[in-house]
Amino acid sequence: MSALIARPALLRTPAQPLRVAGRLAGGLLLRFGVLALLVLLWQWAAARTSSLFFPTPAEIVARIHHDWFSGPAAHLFLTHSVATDIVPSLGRMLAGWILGSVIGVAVGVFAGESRVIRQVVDPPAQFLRALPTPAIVPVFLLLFGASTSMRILLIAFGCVWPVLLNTMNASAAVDPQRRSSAKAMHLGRARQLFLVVLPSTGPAVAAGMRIGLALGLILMVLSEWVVSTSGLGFTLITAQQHFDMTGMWAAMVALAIAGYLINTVFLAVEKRVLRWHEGARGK
Amino acid sequence: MRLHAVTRSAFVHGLIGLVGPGLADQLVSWTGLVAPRYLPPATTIADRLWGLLGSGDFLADLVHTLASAALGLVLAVPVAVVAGVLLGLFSPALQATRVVIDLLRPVPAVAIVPLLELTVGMGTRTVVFAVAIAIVWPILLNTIHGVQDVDGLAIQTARVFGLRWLRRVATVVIPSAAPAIGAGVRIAMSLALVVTVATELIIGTDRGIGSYILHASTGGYHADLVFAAVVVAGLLGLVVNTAASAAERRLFPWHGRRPA
Repeated sequence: MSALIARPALLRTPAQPLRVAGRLAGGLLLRFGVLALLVLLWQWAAARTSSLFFPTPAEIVARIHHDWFSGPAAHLFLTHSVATDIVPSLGRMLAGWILGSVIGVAVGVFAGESRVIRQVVDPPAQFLRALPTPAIVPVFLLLFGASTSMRILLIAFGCVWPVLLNTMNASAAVDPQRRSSAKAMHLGRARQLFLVVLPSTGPAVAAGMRIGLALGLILMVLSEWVVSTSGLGFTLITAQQHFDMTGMWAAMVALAIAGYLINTVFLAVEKRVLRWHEGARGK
Repeated sequence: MRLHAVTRSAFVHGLIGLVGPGLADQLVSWTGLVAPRYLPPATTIADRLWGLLGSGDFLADLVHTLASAALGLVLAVPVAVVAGVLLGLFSPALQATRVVIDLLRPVPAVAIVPLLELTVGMGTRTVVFAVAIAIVWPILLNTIHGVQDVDGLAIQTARVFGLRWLRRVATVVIPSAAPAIGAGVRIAMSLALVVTVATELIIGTDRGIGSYILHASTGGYHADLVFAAVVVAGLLGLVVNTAASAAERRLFPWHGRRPA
């Protein structure tokens, strides 16, 4: 009881803001301390040994700034290279990933409706999902040429199978009572789809899309390796071939940041869209 | 009897699903919609497939790819499991490294290949290192998750019985986390195959199924051989996935039955 009374008094003591600031600093130190330490260690080691392959972080950051963020203020400080390196890469990656996911969900929901279709679709889909997708790159290169659509289709091809199989299995496993209740309420097919089937398959679709995201990033880089003129993968391999180590590292760091941002955004969206699901499962 | 009929119809439908695309391909070839130079008829591919499976050189490529992936796995698993157990047990350590892990994990594995090529040398060594670096993450995260999920009561019971820290980890934590670790390794196995083939394609190693496909496609494009090799790659993936799932089911039969 005395603690309860004492607490408001404590709040008013002048030391409190300091303590909050101290705790905040401690938390920041804990969360980012190791990262900062590693970067500093790298800086120190790279500066000392002046290794050819490992430029210092300062050099890499300066290069990233020079290459991509030193443009005119009217263009938000972005340089022209952003339009040839980063935008095409991310655009193709997102286009392919979304295309693959949409096709996967559409076919998966359709196949989930009937056992016969499921049994027909399952073996080839399992086979194509198990196929290490990079093996198909030469085939796509030949069938579609070294074009933007080839790269988008390749990424879509990689992303479609996990989404399709997950959606199909989840939509087949929708609680039959929910389906029959929807039918009993005379919901039309479209409303049944949007009110019953799609929400129930949501978590499985998201899980499939997360697998697709990781695969899509690999395929994005890989597809820009072969006969390309733009994109981060192209920048990376060109820098390596010209023995421009700082440029290579800048492209690698840019890829890391791009991957991190895409993942973070996806997880945030997933959490928001599927928030009801956590509640429904009593978590 | 009824069950028999059900499995038989599933088999027939599955066969339709597998033969259908081949038949469509055959028709496309016959009608000349796409030149067979680009899309060979299914019968040609099947013939080449048969030839490949009997060719010692190709089988050596296949074994080489599998061995590279396995070697990457052997390198990555101990590191990832040990690190995962430690980070799962000491939450301050996890908090401190979380940002580093989150930043490194989404890096597309093939992005580090150019650096590896220059530092560890061309060829299989780069492939193995790229695989190891790529698959550390799913195993590490699954291990952390599995260790954090260990029943607190079980750990406390072990403590009450006077088990030392190392014994507690060995007898309580690791067995409880084993199914999660196993699931991580299963995911890692198919990823390992993807990264192996990708790296073989990129750096043009002289052995491996990725390099076989690369050479068949660049050296006067042999579409039939490329398609046949791609089918083999798919079969390889299917075998690896099935084996991994079967091993997981056998080792941890209770896992996956409870709502995940």
